[in-house]
Amino acid sequence: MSALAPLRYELEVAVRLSIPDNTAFTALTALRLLGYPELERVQRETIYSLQLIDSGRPAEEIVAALTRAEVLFNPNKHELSYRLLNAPGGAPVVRERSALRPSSEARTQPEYEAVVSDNGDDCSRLVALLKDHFGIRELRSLSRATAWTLCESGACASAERLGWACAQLLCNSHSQRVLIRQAPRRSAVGEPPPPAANESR
Amino acid sequence: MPPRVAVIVFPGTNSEDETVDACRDAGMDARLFWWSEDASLLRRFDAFVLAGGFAHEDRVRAGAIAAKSSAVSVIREEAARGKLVLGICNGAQVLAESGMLGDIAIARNLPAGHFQCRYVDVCADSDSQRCAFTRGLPAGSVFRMALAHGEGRFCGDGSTFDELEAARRIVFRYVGEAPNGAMHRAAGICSEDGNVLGLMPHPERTAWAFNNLWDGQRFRGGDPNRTVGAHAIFSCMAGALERSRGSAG
Repeated sequence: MSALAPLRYELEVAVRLSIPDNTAFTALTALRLLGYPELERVQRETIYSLQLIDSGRPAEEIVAALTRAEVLFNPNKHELSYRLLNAPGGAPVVRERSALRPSSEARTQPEYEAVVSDNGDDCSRLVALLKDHFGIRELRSLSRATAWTLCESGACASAERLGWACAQLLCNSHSQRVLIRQAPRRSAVGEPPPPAANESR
Repeated sequence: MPPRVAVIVFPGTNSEDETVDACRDAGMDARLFWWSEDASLLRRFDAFVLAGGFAHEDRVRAGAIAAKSSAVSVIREEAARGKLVLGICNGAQVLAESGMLGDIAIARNLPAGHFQCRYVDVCADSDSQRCAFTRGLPAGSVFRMALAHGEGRFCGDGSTFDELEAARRIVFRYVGEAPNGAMHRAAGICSEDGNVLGLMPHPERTAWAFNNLWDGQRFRGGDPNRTVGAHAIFSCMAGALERSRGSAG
């Protein structure tokens, strides 16, 4: 491996509906009926993990290109937030732009989230689309998942409760896998970013 | 008295009418059964068909919410007693989610990654005795059926599929490459006892001469309403129900 090989880093993008999420509401109703009557709220986000090479282009421009592409994200109904892992130059500064809608809602960060992904998922067509048609030439690979958070009694549900909900409904162990983790801090586009997480996943 | 068949309708089911017609044209007394009806009434029926569509809008995963319904709980109990259950497309997804087909899942199409809508040829396994819905079919019968799904890929771990092969439970396979990436080209998988079948393509959409659109011969001679091709699956089901009545009587 050459010492001059471009650095790689990961951009994790979370997309959630800003309009009512019927699927989350259905999950809420179903989980209550399955034996979790204390459950008050279910939140769902689609997580895209983009593996990028460092071309020198600031990450904020890549996020802006993603929002303009409207492939992963529809500004009419979605909010997008992101974070960087193993960022080459530390946290980027994201400037507010008129084309990008800032999150108006102060988000309370849940304590845990269950990240459910399909075994053997293939996003190569999505990668080709974003690279070839929308100019995100730094993109090398992409994976997607759904992050679920549960709230009860005004607080976030425990990891055990999330595990139960996944076993009951949110994850099919024959075709999916789940990672229950502490929910990371992500920045909404237009908000000051959190410090870059230099962690390995 | 013909065997009574309940065709289950969840919110989002969209193939119930043609499924009822296919059952009736095979001599069964089929009627719609709504998800909101008293599920215990299902015990009066001799067999069940979970029709295609998008039950509960495929929320969370295709079939996941319907699989938790009281109707499916009763159907699971009745299946354990030997009653016949046919799940077509979304119905097969409900059966997989409910565990009635064993340790398998039906997942997003790969490599396409999107909804597939086309005709496919499906071949019955040579051991037609294995499953109530193929019993009596000539070995290796090929049927053209309509495929319409975004999550139709039968999958599971390799050893599970080895066991399915050994037990001859993959009773229908796609001819050629599986359009949805299904392991072992599986289009239909039956339960261990052979009385439950999950079938991804739609036999009821190519069950009559008038909806066999590909040959250009549909109205040339004969009654366009005559049953053809894939309707044989419903005829096998009717035959199995008659035989089970005969043996019970």
